[in-house]
Amino acid sequence: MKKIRALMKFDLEDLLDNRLAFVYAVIFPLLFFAMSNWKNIMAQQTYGTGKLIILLTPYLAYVVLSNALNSVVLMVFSRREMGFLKMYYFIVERRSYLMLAPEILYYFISLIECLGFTLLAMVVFHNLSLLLLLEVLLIISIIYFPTCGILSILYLLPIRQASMTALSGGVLLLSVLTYSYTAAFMPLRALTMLNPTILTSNVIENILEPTLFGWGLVVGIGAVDCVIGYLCMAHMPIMSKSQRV
Amino acid sequence: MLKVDHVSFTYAAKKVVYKDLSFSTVDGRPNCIIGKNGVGKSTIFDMIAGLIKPQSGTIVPMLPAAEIVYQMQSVPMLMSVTGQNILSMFRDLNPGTQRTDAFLATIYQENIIPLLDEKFRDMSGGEKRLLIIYAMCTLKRSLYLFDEPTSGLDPASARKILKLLRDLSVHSQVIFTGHNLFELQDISCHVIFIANQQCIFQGNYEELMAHYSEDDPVQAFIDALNQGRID
Repeated sequence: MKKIRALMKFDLEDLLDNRLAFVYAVIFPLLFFAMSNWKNIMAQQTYGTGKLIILLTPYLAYVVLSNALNSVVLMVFSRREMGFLKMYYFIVERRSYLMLAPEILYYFISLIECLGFTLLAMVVFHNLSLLLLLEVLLIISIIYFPTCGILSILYLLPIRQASMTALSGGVLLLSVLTYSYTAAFMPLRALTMLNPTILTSNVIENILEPTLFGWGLVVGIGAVDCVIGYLCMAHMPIMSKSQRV
Repeated sequence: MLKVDHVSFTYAAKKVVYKDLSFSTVDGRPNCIIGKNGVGKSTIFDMIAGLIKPQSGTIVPMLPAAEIVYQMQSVPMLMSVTGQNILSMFRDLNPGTQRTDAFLATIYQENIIPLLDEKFRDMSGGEKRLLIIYAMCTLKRSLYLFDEPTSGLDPASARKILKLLRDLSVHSQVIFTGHNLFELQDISCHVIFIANQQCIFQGNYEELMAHYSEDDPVQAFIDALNQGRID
Protein backbone atom coordinates (compact mmCIF):
# COMPACT_ATOMS: atom_id res chain seq x y z
CA MET A 1 0.00 0.00 0.00
CA LYS A 2 2.96 2.33 0.68
CA LYS A 3 4.03 2.07 -2.95
CA ILE A 4 0.54 2.78 -4.24
CA ARG A 5 0.39 5.80 -1.93
CA ALA A 6 3.72 7.06 -3.25
CA LEU A 7 2.48 6.76 -6.84
CA MET A 8 -0.82 8.44 -5.96
CA LYS A 9 1.07 11.35 -4.41
CA PHE A 10 3.09 11.62 -7.60
CA ASP A 11 -0.05 11.59 -9.79
CA LEU A 12 -1.68 14.18 -7.55
CA GLU A 13 1.31 16.52 -8.00
CA ASP A 14 0.78 16.20 -11.73
CA LEU A 15 -2.95 16.75 -11.44
CA LEU A 16 -2.59 19.85 -9.29
CA ASP A 17 -0.38 21.37 -11.96
CA ASN A 18 -3.30 21.24 -14.37
CA ARG A 19 -6.27 22.33 -12.26
CA LEU A 20 -8.63 22.31 -15.21
CA ALA A 21 -8.26 18.51 -15.32
CA PHE A 22 -9.73 18.45 -11.83
CA VAL A 23 -13.07 19.85 -12.99
CA TYR A 24 -12.96 18.63 -16.60
CA ALA A 25 -15.30 15.70 -15.94
CA VAL A 26 -17.83 17.99 -14.24
CA ILE A 27 -17.98 20.89 -16.72
CA PHE A 28 -20.08 19.17 -19.40
CA PRO A 29 -22.63 17.53 -17.07
CA LEU A 30 -22.89 20.79 -15.12
CA LEU A 31 -23.66 22.78 -18.25
CA PHE A 32 -26.13 20.15 -19.46
CA PHE A 33 -27.75 20.02 -16.02
CA ALA A 34 -28.18 23.79 -15.96
CA MET A 35 -29.55 23.90 -19.52
CA SER A 36 -32.04 21.05 -19.18
CA ASN A 37 -33.33 22.16 -15.76
CA TRP A 38 -33.22 25.89 -16.37
CA LYS A 39 -37.00 26.37 -16.18
CA ASN A 40 -37.35 24.47 -12.91
CA ILE A 41 -34.37 26.22 -11.41
CA MET A 42 -35.78 29.64 -12.31
CA ALA A 43 -39.21 28.63 -10.98
CA GLN A 44 -37.52 28.05 -7.59
CA GLN A 45 -38.99 24.56 -7.37
CA THR A 46 -38.31 22.28 -4.42
CA TYR A 47 -37.42 18.65 -5.17
CA GLY A 48 -37.69 15.76 -2.72
CA THR A 49 -34.69 13.52 -2.10
CA GLY A 50 -36.03 10.68 -4.28
CA LYS A 51 -36.78 12.98 -7.21
CA LEU A 52 -33.43 14.67 -6.89
CA ILE A 53 -31.48 11.43 -6.97
CA ILE A 54 -33.33 10.28 -10.08
CA LEU A 55 -32.55 13.63 -11.67
CA LEU A 56 -28.86 13.29 -10.77
CA THR A 57 -28.42 9.70 -12.01
CA PRO A 58 -27.13 10.35 -15.56
CA TYR A 59 -24.86 13.15 -14.41
CA LEU A 60 -23.22 11.10 -11.67
CA ALA A 61 -22.85 8.18 -14.08
CA TYR A 62 -21.20 10.49 -16.60
CA VAL A 63 -18.73 11.95 -14.08
CA VAL A 64 -17.65 8.48 -12.93
CA LEU A 65 -17.44 7.10 -16.45
CA SER A 66 -15.58 10.13 -17.76
CA ASN A 67 -13.01 9.97 -14.96
CA ALA A 68 -12.53 6.21 -15.25
CA LEU A 69 -12.20 6.39 -19.02
CA ASN A 70 -10.28 9.61 -19.66
CA SER A 71 -8.30 10.05 -16.48
CA VAL A 72 -7.51 6.42 -15.67
CA VAL A 73 -7.73 4.08 -18.66
CA LEU A 74 -6.64 6.55 -21.36
CA MET A 75 -3.89 7.94 -19.14
CA VAL A 76 -2.47 4.50 -18.32
CA PHE A 77 -2.73 3.56 -21.99
CA SER A 78 -0.83 6.67 -23.12
CA ARG A 79 1.78 6.15 -20.40
CA ARG A 80 2.35 2.66 -21.70
CA GLU A 81 2.81 3.96 -25.25
CA MET A 82 5.33 6.52 -23.96
CA GLY A 83 7.36 3.78 -22.30
CA PHE A 84 6.47 4.98 -18.80
CA LEU A 85 5.06 1.62 -17.67
CA LYS A 86 8.02 -0.34 -19.00
CA MET A 87 10.56 1.74 -17.09
CA TYR A 88 8.53 2.11 -13.90
CA TYR A 89 7.65 -1.55 -13.74
CA PHE A 90 11.23 -2.19 -12.67
CA ILE A 91 11.09 0.53 -10.03
CA VAL A 92 7.70 -0.42 -8.62
CA GLU A 93 8.14 -4.18 -9.22
CA ARG A 94 4.40 -4.83 -9.72
CA ARG A 95 2.59 -3.71 -12.84
CA SER A 96 -0.78 -3.57 -11.06
CA TYR A 97 0.44 -0.72 -8.81
CA LEU A 98 0.94 1.49 -11.86
CA MET A 99 -2.73 1.06 -12.73
CA LEU A 100 -4.19 0.95 -9.24
CA ALA A 101 -2.59 4.23 -8.13
CA PRO A 102 -4.44 6.49 -10.63
CA GLU A 103 -7.56 4.36 -10.20
CA ILE A 104 -7.68 4.95 -6.44
CA LEU A 105 -6.72 8.61 -6.78
CA TYR A 106 -9.58 9.22 -9.22
CA TYR A 107 -12.00 7.39 -6.95
CA PHE A 108 -11.51 10.17 -4.43
CA ILE A 109 -11.64 12.83 -7.12
CA SER A 110 -14.88 11.39 -8.54
CA LEU A 111 -16.28 11.36 -5.04
CA ILE A 112 -15.42 15.03 -4.46
CA GLU A 113 -16.78 16.03 -7.87
CA CYS A 114 -20.05 14.08 -7.45
CA LEU A 115 -20.61 15.34 -3.91
CA GLY A 116 -19.96 18.89 -5.11
CA PHE A 117 -22.40 18.39 -7.99
CA THR A 118 -25.03 17.00 -5.61
CA LEU A 119 -24.56 19.88 -3.19
CA LEU A 120 -25.12 22.34 -6.01
CA ALA A 121 -28.27 20.51 -7.11
CA MET A 122 -29.50 20.48 -3.50
CA VAL A 123 -29.01 24.24 -3.24
CA VAL A 124 -30.82 25.06 -6.49
CA PHE A 125 -33.70 22.72 -5.65
CA HIS A 126 -33.92 23.78 -2.00
CA ASN A 127 -33.34 20.40 -0.40
CA LEU A 128 -30.27 20.15 1.80
CA SER A 129 -30.30 16.48 2.65
CA LEU A 130 -27.50 14.62 4.44
CA LEU A 131 -29.18 11.37 3.39
CA LEU A 132 -28.79 12.31 -0.26
CA LEU A 133 -25.08 12.99 0.21
CA LEU A 134 -24.65 9.63 1.91
CA GLU A 135 -26.54 7.94 -0.91
CA VAL A 136 -24.28 9.57 -3.49
CA LEU A 137 -21.25 8.44 -1.49
CA LEU A 138 -22.63 4.89 -1.55
CA ILE A 139 -23.47 5.00 -5.27
CA ILE A 140 -20.01 6.23 -6.30
CA SER A 141 -18.33 3.68 -4.04
CA ILE A 142 -20.36 0.87 -5.58
CA ILE A 143 -20.02 1.82 -9.24
CA TYR A 144 -16.54 3.33 -9.52
CA PHE A 145 -14.32 0.24 -9.29
CA PRO A 146 -16.57 -1.99 -11.45
CA THR A 147 -16.56 0.83 -14.04
CA CYS A 148 -12.74 0.90 -14.04
CA GLY A 149 -12.75 -2.90 -14.14
CA ILE A 150 -14.89 -3.31 -17.25
CA LEU A 151 -13.08 -0.48 -19.04
CA SER A 152 -9.75 -2.24 -18.42
CA ILE A 153 -10.62 -4.46 -21.40
CA LEU A 154 -9.42 -1.51 -23.50
CA TYR A 155 -5.85 -2.14 -22.26
CA LEU A 156 -5.79 -5.41 -24.19
CA LEU A 157 -6.72 -3.95 -27.57
CA PRO A 158 -3.77 -3.92 -29.98
CA ILE A 159 -4.40 -0.37 -31.16
CA ARG A 160 -2.50 2.89 -31.18
CA GLN A 161 -3.07 5.95 -29.02
CA ALA A 162 -5.03 7.88 -31.67
CA SER A 163 -7.41 4.96 -32.23
CA MET A 164 -7.85 4.55 -28.49
CA THR A 165 -8.79 8.21 -28.09
CA ALA A 166 -11.41 7.90 -30.85
CA LEU A 167 -12.72 4.63 -29.42
CA SER A 168 -13.03 5.98 -25.90
CA GLY A 169 -15.12 8.90 -27.21
CA GLY A 170 -17.48 6.37 -28.79
CA VAL A 171 -17.63 4.27 -25.62
CA LEU A 172 -18.50 7.34 -23.54
CA LEU A 173 -21.22 8.48 -25.90
CA LEU A 174 -22.78 5.03 -26.30
CA SER A 175 -22.76 4.38 -22.57
CA VAL A 176 -24.44 7.67 -21.74
CA LEU A 177 -27.07 7.33 -24.49
CA THR A 178 -28.11 3.90 -23.25
CA TYR A 179 -28.15 4.60 -19.49
CA SER A 180 -31.93 4.25 -19.14
CA TYR A 181 -32.19 1.02 -21.15
CA THR A 182 -33.82 -1.86 -19.29
CA ALA A 183 -34.39 -5.36 -20.61
CA ALA A 184 -37.13 -7.60 -19.25
CA PHE A 185 -35.30 -10.81 -20.23
CA MET A 186 -33.07 -11.47 -17.22
CA PRO A 187 -29.86 -12.73 -18.90
CA LEU A 188 -30.00 -9.77 -21.26
CA ARG A 189 -30.60 -7.41 -18.36
CA ALA A 190 -27.54 -8.79 -16.56
CA LEU A 191 -25.51 -8.38 -19.74
CA THR A 192 -26.58 -4.76 -20.26
CA MET A 193 -25.56 -4.00 -16.69
CA LEU A 194 -21.96 -4.43 -17.81
CA ASN A 195 -22.53 -0.93 -19.19
CA PRO A 196 -21.45 1.27 -16.24
CA THR A 197 -24.25 3.81 -16.72
CA ILE A 198 -26.94 1.09 -16.69
CA LEU A 199 -25.28 -0.36 -13.58
CA THR A 200 -25.56 3.10 -12.01
CA SER A 201 -29.29 3.28 -12.86
CA ASN A 202 -29.78 -0.13 -11.26
CA VAL A 203 -27.94 0.90 -8.09
CA ILE A 204 -30.15 3.97 -7.75
CA GLU A 205 -33.25 1.89 -8.46
CA ASN A 206 -32.25 -0.43 -5.63
CA ILE A 207 -31.57 2.45 -3.27
CA LEU A 208 -35.06 3.82 -3.89
CA GLU A 209 -36.85 0.45 -3.89
CA PRO A 210 -34.48 -2.14 -2.45
CA THR A 211 -34.97 -5.81 -3.23
CA LEU A 212 -32.69 -8.69 -2.33
CA PHE A 213 -32.61 -9.89 -5.93
CA GLY A 214 -31.87 -6.40 -7.24
CA TRP A 215 -28.94 -5.90 -4.88
CA GLY A 216 -27.72 -9.43 -5.58
CA LEU A 217 -27.66 -8.65 -9.28
CA VAL A 218 -25.84 -5.35 -8.75
CA VAL A 219 -23.22 -6.91 -6.46
CA GLY A 220 -22.82 -9.89 -8.79
CA ILE A 221 -22.27 -7.75 -11.89
CA GLY A 222 -19.98 -5.43 -9.93
CA ALA A 223 -17.90 -8.43 -8.86
CA VAL A 224 -17.73 -9.71 -12.47
CA ASP A 225 -16.53 -6.25 -13.59
CA CYS A 226 -13.84 -6.23 -10.89
CA VAL A 227 -12.63 -9.74 -11.84
CA ILE A 228 -12.44 -8.66 -15.50
CA GLY A 229 -10.44 -5.62 -14.40
CA TYR A 230 -8.05 -7.75 -12.35
CA LEU A 231 -7.48 -10.18 -15.22
CA CYS A 232 -6.90 -7.36 -17.72
CA MET A 233 -4.43 -5.71 -15.36
CA ALA A 234 -2.55 -8.97 -14.86
CA HIS A 235 -2.34 -9.70 -18.58
CA MET A 236 -1.99 -6.30 -20.17
CA PRO A 237 1.31 -5.76 -21.97
CA ILE A 238 3.54 -3.15 -20.35
CA MET A 239 5.44 -2.42 -23.56
CA SER A 240 4.11 -0.01 -26.15
CA LYS A 241 2.47 -1.44 -29.27
CA SER A 242 5.48 -0.61 -31.44
CA GLN A 243 7.83 -2.51 -29.13
CA ARG A 244 5.76 -5.66 -28.91
CA VAL A 245 6.73 -8.76 -30.87
CA MET B 1 28.28 -12.64 -14.81
CA LEU B 2 25.54 -12.84 -17.39
CA LYS B 3 25.78 -15.29 -20.27
CA VAL B 4 23.91 -14.83 -23.53
CA ASP B 5 24.16 -18.08 -25.46
CA HIS B 6 23.21 -18.61 -29.13
CA VAL B 7 20.25 -16.27 -28.96
CA SER B 8 18.14 -15.61 -32.02
CA PHE B 9 15.28 -13.18 -32.35
CA THR B 10 13.03 -12.03 -35.19
CA TYR B 11 10.41 -9.27 -34.94
CA ALA B 12 6.96 -10.23 -36.22
CA ALA B 13 8.49 -13.00 -38.38
CA LYS B 14 10.01 -10.31 -40.61
CA LYS B 15 12.91 -8.35 -39.22
CA VAL B 16 15.74 -10.62 -38.11
CA VAL B 17 17.49 -8.93 -35.19
CA TYR B 18 19.78 -11.74 -34.02
CA LYS B 19 20.76 -14.96 -35.72
CA ASP B 20 23.28 -16.35 -33.26
CA LEU B 21 24.17 -13.92 -30.52
CA SER B 22 26.57 -15.06 -27.82
CA PHE B 23 28.52 -13.03 -25.30
CA SER B 24 29.31 -12.87 -21.61
CA THR B 25 29.45 -9.87 -19.32
CA VAL B 26 32.07 -9.36 -16.62
CA ASP B 27 31.73 -8.33 -12.99
CA GLY B 28 33.56 -5.46 -11.34
CA ARG B 29 33.51 -3.09 -14.30
CA PRO B 30 30.85 -1.78 -16.63
CA ASN B 31 29.87 -3.70 -19.75
CA CYS B 32 29.19 -1.65 -22.85
CA ILE B 33 27.19 -3.00 -25.78
CA ILE B 34 28.32 -1.07 -28.86
CA GLY B 35 26.69 -1.14 -32.25
CA LYS B 36 25.21 1.08 -34.88
CA ASN B 37 21.64 2.37 -34.75
CA GLY B 38 18.95 -0.28 -35.16
CA VAL B 39 21.28 -3.21 -34.49
CA GLY B 40 19.03 -4.41 -31.64
CA LYS B 41 20.75 -3.09 -28.52
CA SER B 42 17.42 -2.28 -26.86
CA THR B 43 16.05 -5.67 -27.92
CA ILE B 44 18.82 -7.50 -26.08
CA PHE B 45 18.04 -5.38 -23.01
CA ASP B 46 14.37 -6.32 -23.26
CA MET B 47 15.41 -9.98 -23.37
CA ILE B 48 17.81 -9.67 -20.42
CA ALA B 49 15.05 -7.90 -18.46
CA GLY B 50 12.61 -10.71 -19.29
CA LEU B 51 10.19 -8.50 -21.22
CA ILE B 52 10.55 -10.56 -24.38
CA LYS B 53 11.78 -14.10 -24.84
CA PRO B 54 14.48 -15.17 -27.29
CA GLN B 55 13.15 -17.50 -29.98
CA SER B 56 16.11 -19.77 -29.39
CA GLY B 57 19.14 -19.79 -27.12
CA THR B 58 19.42 -18.88 -23.46
CA ILE B 59 20.21 -15.98 -21.17
CA VAL B 60 21.52 -16.98 -17.76
CA PRO B 61 20.69 -15.91 -15.11
CA MET B 62 17.24 -14.43 -15.65
CA LEU B 63 16.69 -12.08 -12.74
CA PRO B 64 13.29 -11.03 -11.36
CA ALA B 65 12.12 -7.45 -11.97
CA ALA B 66 12.84 -6.60 -8.34
CA GLU B 67 16.56 -7.18 -8.98
CA ILE B 68 16.78 -5.01 -12.09
CA VAL B 69 16.90 -1.32 -12.93
CA TYR B 70 16.18 -0.54 -16.57
CA GLN B 71 16.72 2.96 -17.97
CA MET B 72 15.32 3.37 -21.42
CA GLN B 73 16.56 5.49 -24.30
CA SER B 74 13.69 7.92 -23.87
CA VAL B 75 13.11 9.50 -20.48
CA PRO B 76 9.40 9.07 -19.76
CA MET B 77 8.27 11.17 -16.82
CA LEU B 78 5.36 13.36 -15.77
CA MET B 79 6.29 16.81 -16.99
CA SER B 80 4.89 18.85 -14.13
CA VAL B 81 6.81 17.23 -11.27
CA THR B 82 10.00 18.69 -9.82
CA GLY B 83 13.39 17.02 -9.41
CA GLN B 84 12.66 16.73 -5.70
CA ASN B 85 9.30 15.02 -6.39
CA ILE B 86 11.04 12.48 -8.60
CA LEU B 87 13.74 11.65 -6.06
CA SER B 88 11.10 11.40 -3.32
CA MET B 89 9.05 9.02 -5.43
CA PHE B 90 12.06 6.77 -6.06
CA ARG B 91 12.78 6.79 -2.32
CA ASP B 92 9.16 6.12 -1.32
CA LEU B 93 8.85 3.28 -3.82
CA ASN B 94 11.96 1.58 -2.47
CA PRO B 95 11.94 2.33 1.25
CA GLY B 96 15.07 1.30 3.13
CA THR B 97 16.86 0.01 0.02
CA GLN B 98 18.59 3.14 -1.17
CA ARG B 99 22.26 3.42 -1.99
CA THR B 100 24.16 5.95 0.07
CA ASP B 101 27.59 5.37 -1.49
CA ALA B 102 30.06 8.24 -1.57
CA PHE B 103 30.27 8.26 -5.38
CA LEU B 104 26.63 9.29 -5.54
CA ALA B 105 27.17 12.22 -3.18
CA THR B 106 29.50 14.06 -5.57
CA ILE B 107 27.11 13.98 -8.51
CA TYR B 108 24.26 14.95 -6.17
CA GLN B 109 26.15 18.01 -4.94
CA GLU B 110 27.33 19.13 -8.35
CA ASN B 111 24.51 18.21 -10.70
CA ILE B 112 21.35 17.25 -8.88
CA ILE B 113 20.88 19.97 -6.26
CA PRO B 114 20.30 22.68 -8.93
CA LEU B 115 17.52 20.53 -10.42
CA LEU B 116 15.60 19.86 -7.21
CA ASP B 117 13.17 22.77 -7.54
CA GLU B 118 12.99 22.72 -11.29
CA LYS B 119 10.02 21.16 -13.07
CA PHE B 120 10.82 18.24 -15.33
CA ARG B 121 9.37 20.05 -18.35
CA ASP B 122 11.75 22.98 -17.81
CA MET B 123 14.88 20.81 -17.70
CA SER B 124 17.04 20.29 -20.77
CA GLY B 125 17.20 16.83 -22.35
CA GLY B 126 20.59 16.22 -20.76
CA GLU B 127 19.43 17.34 -17.31
CA LYS B 128 16.40 15.06 -17.50
CA ARG B 129 18.60 12.09 -18.38
CA LEU B 130 21.12 12.92 -15.69
CA LEU B 131 18.43 13.19 -13.01
CA ILE B 132 16.73 9.92 -13.96
CA ILE B 133 20.03 8.03 -14.17
CA TYR B 134 21.06 9.39 -10.79
CA ALA B 135 17.68 8.42 -9.31
CA MET B 136 18.02 4.92 -10.74
CA CYS B 137 21.55 4.53 -9.39
CA THR B 138 20.22 5.23 -5.90
CA LEU B 139 18.19 2.01 -6.04
CA LYS B 140 19.93 -1.08 -4.70
CA ARG B 141 19.70 -3.78 -7.37
CA SER B 142 21.80 -6.65 -8.75
CA LEU B 143 21.63 -5.61 -12.39
CA TYR B 144 21.54 -2.13 -13.94
CA LEU B 145 20.63 -1.71 -17.60
CA PHE B 146 21.20 1.72 -19.12
CA ASP B 147 20.14 2.21 -22.72
CA GLU B 148 22.27 4.97 -24.26
CA PRO B 149 22.82 6.80 -20.96
CA THR B 150 25.07 9.46 -22.51
CA SER B 151 22.81 10.29 -25.44
CA GLY B 152 22.13 14.03 -25.55
CA LEU B 153 24.63 14.85 -22.81
CA ASP B 154 27.48 17.31 -23.12
CA PRO B 155 30.94 15.66 -22.92
CA ALA B 156 31.47 16.73 -19.31
CA SER B 157 28.13 15.30 -18.15
CA ALA B 158 28.65 12.17 -20.27
CA ARG B 159 31.98 11.60 -18.56
CA LYS B 160 30.36 12.05 -15.15
CA ILE B 161 27.67 9.50 -16.00
CA LEU B 162 30.22 6.97 -17.23
CA LYS B 163 32.26 7.42 -14.06
CA LEU B 164 29.07 6.94 -12.07
CA LEU B 165 28.43 3.68 -13.92
CA ARG B 166 32.03 2.60 -13.34
CA ASP B 167 31.72 3.21 -9.59
CA LEU B 168 28.35 1.47 -9.52
CA SER B 169 29.79 -1.59 -11.27
CA VAL B 170 32.07 -2.26 -8.31
CA HIS B 171 28.94 -3.16 -6.33
CA SER B 172 26.57 -4.57 -8.98
CA GLN B 173 26.47 -5.71 -12.56
CA VAL B 174 26.17 -2.76 -14.97
CA ILE B 175 25.43 -3.02 -18.69
CA PHE B 176 24.95 0.01 -20.90
CA THR B 177 24.64 0.63 -24.62
CA GLY B 178 26.18 3.27 -26.82
CA HIS B 179 27.57 4.22 -30.21
CA ASN B 180 30.60 6.22 -29.32
CA LEU B 181 33.82 4.30 -28.83
CA PHE B 182 35.70 7.48 -27.92
CA GLU B 183 33.61 7.80 -24.75
CA LEU B 184 35.08 4.54 -23.50
CA GLN B 185 38.69 5.73 -23.56
CA ASP B 186 38.58 6.98 -20.00
CA ILE B 187 36.79 4.15 -18.27
CA SER B 188 37.92 0.60 -18.05
CA CYS B 189 34.98 -1.35 -19.41
CA HIS B 190 34.19 -4.62 -21.14
CA VAL B 191 33.18 -3.87 -24.74
CA ILE B 192 30.66 -6.08 -26.54
CA PHE B 193 30.48 -5.11 -30.21
CA ILE B 194 27.32 -6.16 -32.04
CA ALA B 195 26.98 -6.13 -35.82
CA ASN B 196 25.46 -8.35 -38.50
CA GLN B 197 23.01 -9.93 -36.02
CA GLN B 198 25.78 -11.28 -33.79
CA CYS B 199 28.55 -10.31 -31.40
CA ILE B 200 31.68 -9.58 -33.45
CA PHE B 201 33.99 -8.68 -30.59
CA GLN B 202 34.20 -8.78 -26.81
CA GLY B 203 37.08 -7.56 -24.73
CA ASN B 204 38.43 -4.27 -23.46
CA TYR B 205 38.77 -1.00 -25.31
CA GLU B 206 42.55 -1.28 -25.81
CA GLU B 207 42.22 -4.74 -27.35
CA LEU B 208 39.57 -3.49 -29.77
CA MET B 209 41.69 -0.51 -30.80
CA ALA B 210 44.84 -2.64 -31.06
CA HIS B 211 43.09 -5.08 -33.37
CA TYR B 212 42.24 -2.35 -35.81
CA SER B 213 45.52 -0.48 -35.26
CA GLU B 214 43.65 2.75 -35.25
CA ASP B 215 44.11 5.82 -33.11
CA ASP B 216 40.76 7.10 -34.22
CA PRO B 217 37.82 5.47 -32.39
CA VAL B 218 35.37 6.55 -35.10
CA GLN B 219 37.45 4.83 -37.79
CA ALA B 220 37.83 1.76 -35.57
CA PHE B 221 34.02 1.64 -35.27
CA ILE B 222 33.64 1.80 -39.07
CA ASP B 223 36.36 -0.83 -39.62
CA ALA B 224 34.76 -3.16 -37.11
CA LEU B 225 31.46 -2.91 -38.95
CA ASN B 226 33.12 -3.56 -42.29
CA GLN B 227 35.37 -6.40 -41.26
CA GLY B 228 32.87 -8.33 -39.16
CA ARG B 229 33.77 -11.00 -36.67
CA ILE B 230 37.12 -11.02 -34.86
CA ASP B 231 38.04 -14.58 -33.88
